[in-house]
Amino acid sequence: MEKAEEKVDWYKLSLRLHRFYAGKMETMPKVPVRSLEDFAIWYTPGVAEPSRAIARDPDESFELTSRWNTIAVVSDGTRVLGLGRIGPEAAYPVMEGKALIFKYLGGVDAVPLVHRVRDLEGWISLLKAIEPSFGGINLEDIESPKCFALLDRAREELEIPVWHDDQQGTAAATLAGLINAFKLVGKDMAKSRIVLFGAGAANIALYRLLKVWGVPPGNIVVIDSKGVLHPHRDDIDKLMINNPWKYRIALETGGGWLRAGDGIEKALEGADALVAASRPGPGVIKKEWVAKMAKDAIVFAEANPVPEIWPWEAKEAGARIVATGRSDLPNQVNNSLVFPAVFRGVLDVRAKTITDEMAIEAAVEIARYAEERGLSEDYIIPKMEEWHLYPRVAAAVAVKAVEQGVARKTTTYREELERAEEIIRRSREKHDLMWEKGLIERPPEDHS
Amino acid sequence: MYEPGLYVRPASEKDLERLARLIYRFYSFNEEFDPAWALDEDAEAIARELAGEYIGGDDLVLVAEYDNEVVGYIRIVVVENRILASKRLGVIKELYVLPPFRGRGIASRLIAEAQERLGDMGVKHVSAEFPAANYVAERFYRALSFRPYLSMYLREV
Repeated sequence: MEKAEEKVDWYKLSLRLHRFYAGKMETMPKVPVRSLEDFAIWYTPGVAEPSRAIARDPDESFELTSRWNTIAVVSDGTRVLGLGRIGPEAAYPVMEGKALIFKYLGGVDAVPLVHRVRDLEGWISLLKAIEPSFGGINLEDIESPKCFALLDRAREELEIPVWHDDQQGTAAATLAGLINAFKLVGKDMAKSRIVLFGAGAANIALYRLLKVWGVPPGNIVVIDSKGVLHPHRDDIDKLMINNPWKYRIALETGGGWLRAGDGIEKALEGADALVAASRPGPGVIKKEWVAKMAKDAIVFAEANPVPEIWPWEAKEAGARIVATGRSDLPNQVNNSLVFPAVFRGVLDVRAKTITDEMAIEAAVEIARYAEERGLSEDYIIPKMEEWHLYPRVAAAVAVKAVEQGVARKTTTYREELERAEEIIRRSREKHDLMWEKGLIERPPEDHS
Repeated sequence: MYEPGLYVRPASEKDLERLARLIYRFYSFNEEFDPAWALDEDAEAIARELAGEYIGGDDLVLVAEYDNEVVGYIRIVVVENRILASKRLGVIKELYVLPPFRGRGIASRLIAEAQERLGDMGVKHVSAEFPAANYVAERFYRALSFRPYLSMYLREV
């Protein structure tokens, strides 16, 4: 039954190679050191002059230092992958992996920054304290609902873009997939019934994006472990205090077309789309529930490592389009399509924030890219290796930032497309060259 | 801007059942904040008794009717202190609006109507009591220009 389960033992291989390379990132100079005299330029005494210029105008730090292209990937290790609260040290490999993807796909220099601060106020002061070092901040693997308050506050209080990939990244990738899925089945997303199963970071952010995109809240239901978020739910007042994000959804959607106490089974009756971002399956979403969905149903089962329902089961039950979070199955809803490009775009225009409209713009551009290549039931979202995608998404996001007045620099789509292409290409070429030259060591068992 | 279809009036006998339900919900919500707010096991029955006492009692008890349905209430107690120039203070002891009807200005409307009646009674100030940990209430009252006035601390005997 588990068709996708055999193959490589990624866990074993990963541990061996992590030990061999002892980490994945290092810092490298990007200026020439022709002789040691050059240090008089790059360091004292010459460096005093750029310092003086920045002291006069702190925004010059984006022009005279690597700040403009450097972000921090920040985690407290409270909700790492599906592993839960494993602590900051254990979160490090994940943050470093993220940094690698940022560099390779987006040309963005990302610094893993794991720490022991747990409380919201402490987190905010930490982010504000490190702000001068970075052009942006990517929050990662932080427990819910703290992550919502943290993102909201950080977006308000910092003058650099703050992004929580588990919220906005996953939501934007999902939205891109949904846009094309609806196109393919010929339904209007704004007039369809959409069920979000799981009320964690990804789906709460997706709800917000869907709303901004134009889906009326009453057409959406969000379901958590206790059932539909509904204004008549018994714990609704408690939610107001403990999870105001869920509370607002309950009030705004009015529970959609459901009654308080209804669950996923009832919700799926006649629904056009399901986005499950809940807990690993299989069997979390049952075939017989999918069978009750509307004709040409769309099912996104995003839990990792095993989706809430296997794609072939969903299809047997009548779903027309199925997406998961896995790279070995068709239609992978993958954050990596989003975050390297979004940051490429915002860094290039020195944006101060990433608005929901910018996240939506990223999703729309991703969807458009796939559409131009020809949509099919097994291709609603581009694959990670389609690297022309990234500069395009960067350009779309950068232009939106300029349009919305949140960019320090102006640009056009064409200009940013060329710049992003150049930066990303150079980043990949540097890596590939180091690999060819043997400066990136070959692992002992590698025969390529 | 107030919602059309919204009507605020003193609680009357016909509101008994509905008011009892609102009182119960108000107190079970507060239970969240401190063990001292824990409810009596007969709380539902007591809420009904209270509703009976509130209607036609000494306190100012108003209900909000929305589309002919009672969806919220406010209870204000007027306390006297002769040594103060202001003499009398209205204290909002209870205020509750059913969740599906929130975000429409019903709570503010209840306060505004109550305040008008307090003014007619010559009361100069209105205050609000709520659990210290209820940050939503704090935000709400601050937005309506209430300022911190009195702190209340508690410990076990």
